[in-house]
Amino acid sequence: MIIRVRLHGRGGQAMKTAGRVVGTAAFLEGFRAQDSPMYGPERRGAPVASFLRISDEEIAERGYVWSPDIIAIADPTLIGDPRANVLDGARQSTAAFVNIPTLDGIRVGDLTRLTNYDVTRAAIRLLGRAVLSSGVAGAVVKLLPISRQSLEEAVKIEMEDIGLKEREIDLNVKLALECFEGTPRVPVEPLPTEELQQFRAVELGWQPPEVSIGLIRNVGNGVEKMTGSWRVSRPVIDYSKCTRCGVCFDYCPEAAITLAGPDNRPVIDYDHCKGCLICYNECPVKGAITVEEEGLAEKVASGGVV
Amino acid sequence: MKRMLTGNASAAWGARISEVEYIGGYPITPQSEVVELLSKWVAEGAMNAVYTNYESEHSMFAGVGAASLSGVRAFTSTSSQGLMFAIEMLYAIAGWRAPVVFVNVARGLGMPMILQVEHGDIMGIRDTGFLQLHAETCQEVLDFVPMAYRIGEDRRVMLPVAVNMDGFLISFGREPVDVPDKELVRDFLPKYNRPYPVVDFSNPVAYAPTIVDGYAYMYFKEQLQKAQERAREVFYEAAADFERIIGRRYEPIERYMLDDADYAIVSTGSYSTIIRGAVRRLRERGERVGMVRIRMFRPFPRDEFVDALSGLKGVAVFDQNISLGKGGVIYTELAEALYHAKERPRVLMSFIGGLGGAEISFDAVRYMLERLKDAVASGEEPRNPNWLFSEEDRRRLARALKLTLGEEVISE
Amino acid sequence: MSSEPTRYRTLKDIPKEEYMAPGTPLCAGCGAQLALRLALKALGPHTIVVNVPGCVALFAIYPYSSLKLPFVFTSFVAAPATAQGIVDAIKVLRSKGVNLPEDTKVLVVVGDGAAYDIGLQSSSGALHRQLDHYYFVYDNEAYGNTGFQYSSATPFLSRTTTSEATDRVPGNTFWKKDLFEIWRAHGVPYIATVAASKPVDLLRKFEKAARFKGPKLFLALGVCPTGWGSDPQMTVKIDKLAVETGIWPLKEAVYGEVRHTYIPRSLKPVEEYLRTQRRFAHLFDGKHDDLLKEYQARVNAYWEKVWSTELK
Repeated sequence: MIIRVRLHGRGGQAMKTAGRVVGTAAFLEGFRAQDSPMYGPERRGAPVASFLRISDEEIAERGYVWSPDIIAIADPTLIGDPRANVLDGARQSTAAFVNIPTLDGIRVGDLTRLTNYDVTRAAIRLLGRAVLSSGVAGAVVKLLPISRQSLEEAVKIEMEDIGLKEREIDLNVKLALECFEGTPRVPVEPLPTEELQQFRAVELGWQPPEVSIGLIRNVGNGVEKMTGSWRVSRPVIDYSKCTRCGVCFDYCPEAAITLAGPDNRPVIDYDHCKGCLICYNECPVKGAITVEEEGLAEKVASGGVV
Repeated sequence: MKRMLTGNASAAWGARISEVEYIGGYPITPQSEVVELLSKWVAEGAMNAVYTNYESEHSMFAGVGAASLSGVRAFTSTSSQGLMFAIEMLYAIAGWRAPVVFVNVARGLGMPMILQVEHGDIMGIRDTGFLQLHAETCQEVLDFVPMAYRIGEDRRVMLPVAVNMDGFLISFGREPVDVPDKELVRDFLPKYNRPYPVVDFSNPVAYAPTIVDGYAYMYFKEQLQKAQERAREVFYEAAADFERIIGRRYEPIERYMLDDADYAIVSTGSYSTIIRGAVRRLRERGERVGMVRIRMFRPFPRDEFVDALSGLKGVAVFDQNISLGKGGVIYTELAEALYHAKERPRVLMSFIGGLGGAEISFDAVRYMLERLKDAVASGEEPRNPNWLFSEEDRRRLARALKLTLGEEVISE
Repeated sequence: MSSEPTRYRTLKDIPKEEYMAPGTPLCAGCGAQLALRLALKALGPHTIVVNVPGCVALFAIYPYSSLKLPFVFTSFVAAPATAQGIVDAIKVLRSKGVNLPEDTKVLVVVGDGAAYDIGLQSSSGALHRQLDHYYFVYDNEAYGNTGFQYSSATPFLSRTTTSEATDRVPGNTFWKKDLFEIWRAHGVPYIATVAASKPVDLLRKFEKAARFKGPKLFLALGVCPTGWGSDPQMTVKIDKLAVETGIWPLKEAVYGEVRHTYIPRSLKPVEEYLRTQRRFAHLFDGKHDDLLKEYQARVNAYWEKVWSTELK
């Protein structure tokens, strides 16, 4: 039996470490274990994933988990983000953990075995920051045949490994255990190895150089990437106070603010604004730009949780 | 018109008659004469081209690759250590699908440093995506440059090409060479027409974006391989036109005295002249031996080899290179090529020799044939590779070791 | 610079055209991205971009590209040589009658790793050959794209992932390489340092550079929230502090003649800048005061010289 787990998060949410905690916990429990992160070029806020396999037999697999038995979703806005591929290879029986206060109104494809815990709130309460590794690890361990003790030990090992001090390690252990306790258990049904996706070979053949030379003819198509989903906080312009000075436009690294109309009204492109808040910080008029936390409900609605 | 030319001058003339528009230069023995001549011709106005001296081979290849990517026919040449220093750029140029042509003057690879011929440098770039044409004579060096542009710039291929000649023996050696008229070459070689040059603002493109997914990376690599495979048919078309217009005929491999042969010796480069002469003399003595010489090394002429060598009793491969830990490169590649031949030669023997310009004589060729015949007769698997050290080599080595070490290690 | 004719007098003059599409994979609050965005506005649409591994390579991650300009990606070492090939090819194409815009520019965009370390030979060659191109370095003072390892642009006492601060070592113990002076020794027409927090100064420098044929070199500070451990919204503030503490002097050199384009009458203490970044956090444990003093003294010495020569 091999249980395959895929953890989805955003860059900066420490899903690589979460995967390592679960991997180490499985190892301590006596399983064979394999954990690996996906490295991409994308940065803080961009969708990332890491992978885990735990087993009582030889693990003859590597890399990307195409057919997950468990999906852990550290950020619910990923569910509707087409670039996150959260539902890659998921079956109806795949168990999914979502870091969210409630599952009311939440759908993850047609998955039926959903469970949840508000890891973010717990992390902020205990650590003062939304660092989710230990919490998500605790929740995932709950769905696996791994004991509380192994989890606790694994958190200690991994947190020490990334250089945390004793107090921070203790707080991470608390966070992991809280999420472990708080996450309702749902059944996990490992897919037999024989039923993993079939390989069907295809022939591509020679293609002309206009096609097969590695080039992008559609330059600037990066605009199709909706980096607005990276945002944690949203800058909002109060046009009654805005003097149209354009400083927010000047200093936006992302070119996500344009000056529109005859009065050069700054308009924020929320599809792409990553929420760095330089505009807010640099705006010379008090109150002309304010910051709103990206409400989860709002994000889930606009981010298109399916 | 024929005149006495060195291999280096032949390479420069090859670039000149191909109406190369851009040349990058950097000196290295035994290649320097190529860039000296080209820079002089550009300075005199004999060539309508831009010539730039670079500060390293790595930069030089970057420059000619980028020029080719901009829609300009670009040429360069180098050798040995210089080629190894530039090797990273060779992968880039092939990946850009920039049909640069460069002439390599084969030389060994340090350490220990050596200036004389060995094929380790040209074999070292066999995986980069460059096509390879290997010249035996000064005439071939010259002819292969326009051939290389014709094949590399073909829409079906769009790949860079390396033309190889041997250091010293060919680079500095002169023989009569026919330099075809520019007009004839124009008939043979159409203008370079690059799809999507990088300098086109009406169709701006981004070249070589970084790829993070295996499927796409594998696609582009596969397309490089497919383009390599198609270069074979393009070679034949180019060769037919070359013969029609210029009057000399080239095949991917040269077959010599193979009719009714039982044995053959495979080689590449200038030492083939010695081997061919020896094969002729051995024939005169009644030996049923022939020779196969490589002209096109990439794409590897697999089908041609199968056709040429099927049914023979034994084949000896003379490799003037060594892939350390494995053996001769041509031997290894040929073994693969012949694996599925219906009438595979019973014995395939590997000989390593001529490294650093070490000598090969008629007698060394006779020795290879004798060993091959012995192996066929014994029916046992031959030991490979076999090193062609001579008695004379050993005597000279013994003296050198005594001088360097102060004691007699090998007796004279 | 105020005496010279310019299109750029105030922030209002920053061109509205964008040559970078939003939706890039770069980190939120990236200072390098901001500096480059502004530079492209000054350079305009007929710019061919040559780029190498580094954060800006993220502008072309298959199947997306974020620059609306011709772009070629080359090896880490070889950006200036690649630019040379393109510039030379343009010469050839023009001689054949190919119509290319008169203001066609070739722009090399590299990070400090390529500029200060691995590509220095290649750029020295191109500078010596007086290659007519723009060379833009976004200096985030480490190998940012690989996770923030030490480069020869890393400042004194900065922590990186390969120059850790421990009880035995205070982070990087070498002083930042002076690339400006290395460039200057090549006798090129125009060299400038720029900062994204001073957009008018930045735009004017690009405008001025356009007058010269030959290498036009720009060194831009690239505030790096991810590597430096700074708050993304503070990027412009930190950039400004680098200028006002005197750590990042704004200057230009025309055929070797150096002139500072911003001369603070008094310097803010370097501490004010260093404290905004986690890479320097280890310095504020009370055990590193001597080193902080050394840092300040070095900056002071630099400006004493400037004040005595340029402020009369």
